[in-house]
Amino acid sequence: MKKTMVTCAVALCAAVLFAEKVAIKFELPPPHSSGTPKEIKSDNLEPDPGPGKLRAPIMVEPEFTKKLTTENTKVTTSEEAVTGENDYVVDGDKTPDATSMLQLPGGLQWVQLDLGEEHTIAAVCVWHDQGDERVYKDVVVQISSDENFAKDVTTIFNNDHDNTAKLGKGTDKEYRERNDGRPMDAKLAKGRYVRCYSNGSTSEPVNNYIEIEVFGK
Amino acid sequence: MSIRDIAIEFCGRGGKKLRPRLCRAVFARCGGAGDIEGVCEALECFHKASLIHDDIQDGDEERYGRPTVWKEHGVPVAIAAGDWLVAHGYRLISESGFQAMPQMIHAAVLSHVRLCEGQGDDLLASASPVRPSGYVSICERKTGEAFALAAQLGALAAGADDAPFRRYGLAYGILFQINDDLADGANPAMLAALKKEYEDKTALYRDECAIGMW
Repeated sequence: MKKTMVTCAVALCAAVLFAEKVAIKFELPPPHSSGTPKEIKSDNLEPDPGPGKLRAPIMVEPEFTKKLTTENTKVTTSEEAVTGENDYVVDGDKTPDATSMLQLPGGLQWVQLDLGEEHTIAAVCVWHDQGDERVYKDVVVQISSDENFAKDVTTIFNNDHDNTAKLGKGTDKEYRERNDGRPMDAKLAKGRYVRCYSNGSTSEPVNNYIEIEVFGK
Repeated sequence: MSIRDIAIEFCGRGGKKLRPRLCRAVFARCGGAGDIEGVCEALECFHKASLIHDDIQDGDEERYGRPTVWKEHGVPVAIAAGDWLVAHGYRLISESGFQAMPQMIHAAVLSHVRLCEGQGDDLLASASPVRPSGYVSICERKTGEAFALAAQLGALAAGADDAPFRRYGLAYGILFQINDDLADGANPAMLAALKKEYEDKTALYRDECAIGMW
């Protein structure tokens, strides 16, 4: 009996240790005609992976690859939209045009998703507008069990390197918007709410969101 | 605060930037070389100027969730801010450096004239019953023209034949106005028929242009 238990425990450990990880698959919209390449000046900008090259995939165990956002996911925002509707960011339409865009006013703004219940979150992918070549500023993504983000907050991405947003200094890099969005590794953080901040872009003061997807279990 | 500051601040308040998007997409489709961004900015200046003046004409007090320019600064200042944007737009095109710049300026002037006439006819006709032909003519000039110009400038800047792109932009703009009026609940039966007609035209012309996402 004892020997059987030990064998089972070893087998379980092996299964956990050697479980094959898979890449979270994001369905990508077609590339956008973004016009004349721009020189974007920033000390904190990551190198562009180059045309056609996708950003590094997020590898997780298969059980964490479920898409948690649906078209019924409740979406709230820091301020009323200038154009578009809140549910545009979860409607599955990643068409990089203005008809699927939620636009929030200038300055630091956020979009918040309510996943309905507590989840283990593996990844969040954010598609901002890519109407022209641009970089969104102070991109911060947080997960929490508290609707108001007053406690139990996990920051999974923060490229606000000079703490403009007063959410803490971030160490992530700024990045150019592309059709593959920005997959962010949530490292299996637990929470019900996902909040995505931004503070305008290098092209305009307003904050344009096309889609946000959350994956996990 | 100067007129320039007021005008530029208004441009940053929001909007979908559809016309610059269309211009960029056409420029890219035609394999354009050079910097198209100044032309895109000019198109947005023309559009924002028309909004400032439109808000005065309609007496609208709010846009993009904020007081309109005339409501915030008064009618005379708002007129001046709109005028500045028009002038600035022409300046940007004239300084864009494209070989086709004279044709681009000419296209913008013609488009501007038609837009003013369309807006004028719309204001004059507002108390009269609207028939489909008259309605389309107004849409064509007051909204379609701006999209036609956006597509046309992208093609001209790239040194391409502008006719198919202009045709697509015009149909798209008319459809855009029909959808806008449908959302406002005006003439639903007439607009539903026109919507179908212009959806078909837009799809056909778009295929002819083989234009990508914008």
